[in-house]
Amino acid sequence: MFEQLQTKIILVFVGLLAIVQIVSLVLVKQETHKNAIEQIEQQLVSGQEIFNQLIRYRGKQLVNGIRILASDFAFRDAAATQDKATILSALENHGRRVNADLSILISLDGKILADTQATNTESGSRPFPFPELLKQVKANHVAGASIRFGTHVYQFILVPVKAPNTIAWVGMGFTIDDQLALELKALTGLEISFVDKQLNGNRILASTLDSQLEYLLSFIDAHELSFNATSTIELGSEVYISYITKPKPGQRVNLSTILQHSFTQAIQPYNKLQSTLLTIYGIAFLAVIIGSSLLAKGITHPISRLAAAAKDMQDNGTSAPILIQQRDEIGQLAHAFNHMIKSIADREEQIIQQAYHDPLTGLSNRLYFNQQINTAIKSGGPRLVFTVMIISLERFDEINNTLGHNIGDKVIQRMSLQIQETCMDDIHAIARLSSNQFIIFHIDTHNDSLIIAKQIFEALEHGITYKDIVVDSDVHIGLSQYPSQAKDAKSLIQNADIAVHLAQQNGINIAYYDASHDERNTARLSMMHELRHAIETDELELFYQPKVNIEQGEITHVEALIRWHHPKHGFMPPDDFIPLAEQTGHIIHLTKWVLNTAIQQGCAFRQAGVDIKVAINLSTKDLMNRSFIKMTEELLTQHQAQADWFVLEVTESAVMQDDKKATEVLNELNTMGFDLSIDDYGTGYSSMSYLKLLPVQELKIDKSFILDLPNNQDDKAIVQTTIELGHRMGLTVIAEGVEDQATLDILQEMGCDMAQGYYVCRPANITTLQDWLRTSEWSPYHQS
Amino acid sequence: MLLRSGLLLCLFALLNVAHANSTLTFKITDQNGNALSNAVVSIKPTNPRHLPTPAHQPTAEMVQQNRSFVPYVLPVQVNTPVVFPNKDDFQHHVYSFSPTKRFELKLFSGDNAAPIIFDKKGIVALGCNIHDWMMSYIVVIDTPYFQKTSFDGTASFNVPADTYWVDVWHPQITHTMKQSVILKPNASTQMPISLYLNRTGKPEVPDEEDPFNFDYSPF
Repeated sequence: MFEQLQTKIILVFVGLLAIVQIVSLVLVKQETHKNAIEQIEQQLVSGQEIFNQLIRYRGKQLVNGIRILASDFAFRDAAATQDKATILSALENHGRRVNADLSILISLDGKILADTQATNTESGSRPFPFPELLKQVKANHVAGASIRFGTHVYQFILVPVKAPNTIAWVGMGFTIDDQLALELKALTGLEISFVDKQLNGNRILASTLDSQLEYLLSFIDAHELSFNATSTIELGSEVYISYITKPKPGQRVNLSTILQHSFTQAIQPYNKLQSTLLTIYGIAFLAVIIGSSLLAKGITHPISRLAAAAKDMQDNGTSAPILIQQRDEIGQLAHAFNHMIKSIADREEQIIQQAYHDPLTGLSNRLYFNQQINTAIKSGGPRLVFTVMIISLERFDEINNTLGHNIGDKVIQRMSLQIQETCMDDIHAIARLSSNQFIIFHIDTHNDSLIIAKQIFEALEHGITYKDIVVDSDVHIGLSQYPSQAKDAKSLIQNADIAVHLAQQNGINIAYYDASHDERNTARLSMMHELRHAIETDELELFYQPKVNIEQGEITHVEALIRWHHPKHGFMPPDDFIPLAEQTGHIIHLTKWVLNTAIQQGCAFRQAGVDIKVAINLSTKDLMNRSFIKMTEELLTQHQAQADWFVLEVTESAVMQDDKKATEVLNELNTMGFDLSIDDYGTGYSSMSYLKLLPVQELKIDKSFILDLPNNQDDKAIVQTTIELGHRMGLTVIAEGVEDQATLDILQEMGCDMAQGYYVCRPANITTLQDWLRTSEWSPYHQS
Repeated sequence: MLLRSGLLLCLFALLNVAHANSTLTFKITDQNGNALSNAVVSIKPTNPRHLPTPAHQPTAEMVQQNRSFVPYVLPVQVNTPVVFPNKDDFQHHVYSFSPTKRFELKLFSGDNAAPIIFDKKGIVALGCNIHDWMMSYIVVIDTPYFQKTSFDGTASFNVPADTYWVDVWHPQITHTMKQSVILKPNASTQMPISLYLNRTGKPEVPDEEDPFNFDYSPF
């Protein structure tokens, strides 16, 4: 590119010079050609003038000579005597005096008495072949013409011989020959040709041209050329600027003179000048090429360096400062560029710091860690083996909630330091993966990943100490190995995460990623897909399990329980898909379906005149969802149902998770008229004080306390206490998991309000339930 | 001259007494009908008896004056001596190349030149070798009956009746015109003659010296 700039600069210089040179050459050429032509034309004009004068002079010479002859007494005497010999010698003598080439005496009857060109045998009485001249001379006493006489063409004058009356005519002529042409050439410097223009071409009478050019000239059609004006004639390789005189009209010989000057020769000196100019131009051209190259290099070299530095910046994000000593604009540019490089580097460092680091611990973040792994993979080669391990601090939210975020942050910082202290020398990178997770990149040269994981675990096992507080740390570590388990950073981290979950689920400290676990995940994901399908295609069904009012001995409630008849896997227990639906967000669809179906059924009971409330289990997630209230209202409106026909069951843990929000939702549901029931009571924190704040009407004791009730004194105590406590708080208490009469009896004894379990009735579909309700001992249908 | 004509007329008058004379009047014109002066008309009877016996001819004069010959045309009878008095202040060189009478009077002044006798019938063109334009004609006639036409182009003869040869000459015709006419006694005959002039007339005395100021170029 900068080579191009250099080329451009050179091209501009050279181009401009070339234009100037070409223009000047063309101008010089045009001007010199014009000058040459003008000069030639001037020469032609003056040459023509000289020519005219010379011819006139010759004419005068002739006239004078002939006058002398005609008036010579002796000649007149001889002419009068008609003595041929005397006449001839007189003609010759006088002719010689004026250098006439032809002298001729013509009798009054038009016969040639003597002529100096005739041989002896010819002399006699031939008629003079130009009667028009005789006529002219009779009229004007003198006649002149160009005549072809014998083999030559003459400039010819004819006058009478008077004695004193006209006794004869005498004529004299100069031949129009090469000698005349040469004489004129000597005077004018022009090429002179005399041409007898004839119909079939030009008869060259005389010429100063080479015989070859003369030959060519004879073919020039003078008709095409303008007379008495300059024109250009090409003869062979030469160009002649020519002036062609117009033949005098009424002449025997169409005599035309062609005055010429070779243009080719005229521009000879210019050609020499041109070659000199070309040489000078050539030298100047080379000088400009060299000069502009140097100049261009002076400009482009620093620019190339700047460009290289810029490219370096582009590719590597950094560049060495450029040393350019120039003080001109380029120097300033280089200075600015250096400044810019430094600024960019500083800013980039800052950005990288922000982008790739966790501000709390100062460790890398997930993004940067990803890059590190990918870089390692890219440059590692085929024998690279490394491990990625995630260290997960469990229940960090609880720490934040109970101890405050400030302490939470400090715990994380401590943990970070502790991990680094333990293994910094052995590992290759560490990052904070999420709020409660760290991730380590370890190249497994010594196959010691597990040892490091154990060391880390042990370091954290005994809790994290901050100031005087020791925070219990429940830590799980998940490992994933490259390349055997995954081939890219994303998958490695995902796998390590799965390994962490595996460890959590299995209650172990350290777990390796297990591909089969991953398959289960995949199965779970596909199951969610199938669940959505199931909602749409009615593979789901609600079963109902009756709750019996112990005191009344009558069924007053039924709990709606979801059943999934999977087309491939058959019956799917709710525990298999509900948590998954909660995790994946599908629960909202499931809840809607359940609510819709249960409300419909509730309405059906009312229509059938049975006073049975339908209990619906709510998910934790439902309580987090603000739109849940709206959805419930809409469904009630849609089915024209009343909220007090239904009981909503929520688990204790659900209420505990996000107390504030859940409480709000529960309050609202309660206000709408729903009865609220705490499900699985006793499995969680079971904080009675907390429960008191909730708008709850019912307490369901978890079946784990009921199943062995008749035999377990502890359970009896807990159940007894719970019932009493519940009643004190104005709550209805229900026991689930009632599987025999004994348990029912105990519960009745303890004052439990309601019982639910296989002993009462197993969950059944609506048809079976309807039948059972009619026939049961606790039937709500009062037979009269 | 007048005297001579008068004498002739007296002679003719005498002859008419003896013979029945006839009158012949010529009217000479050019081809355009203009009267021609300087035409010389001579008639010669076919009967030799009608010719008077040749007598000694009186001398005639051809004067050179103001670089011209005077007269321009001088008719004379054969054997007439002609003198050439030079009345100019300079010399003349009078010559004739005419076959009728070739002579040359080299550079002379005044009356120095000897008289020339013209003894042969014919036309003699006179020139001056010094003054090329000077020109005159002496018409030598072999009959006593001749006249030069006056400005009105007429010439009249009173001669015996006979058949006559008529010669008419003029400087501007090429050949002498020859005719014949029969004159009856006591008759008056009119003879108009038209001449075809094809030669230049009397050259003017030039104002300029060079008559050949002829600018000639064949180109």
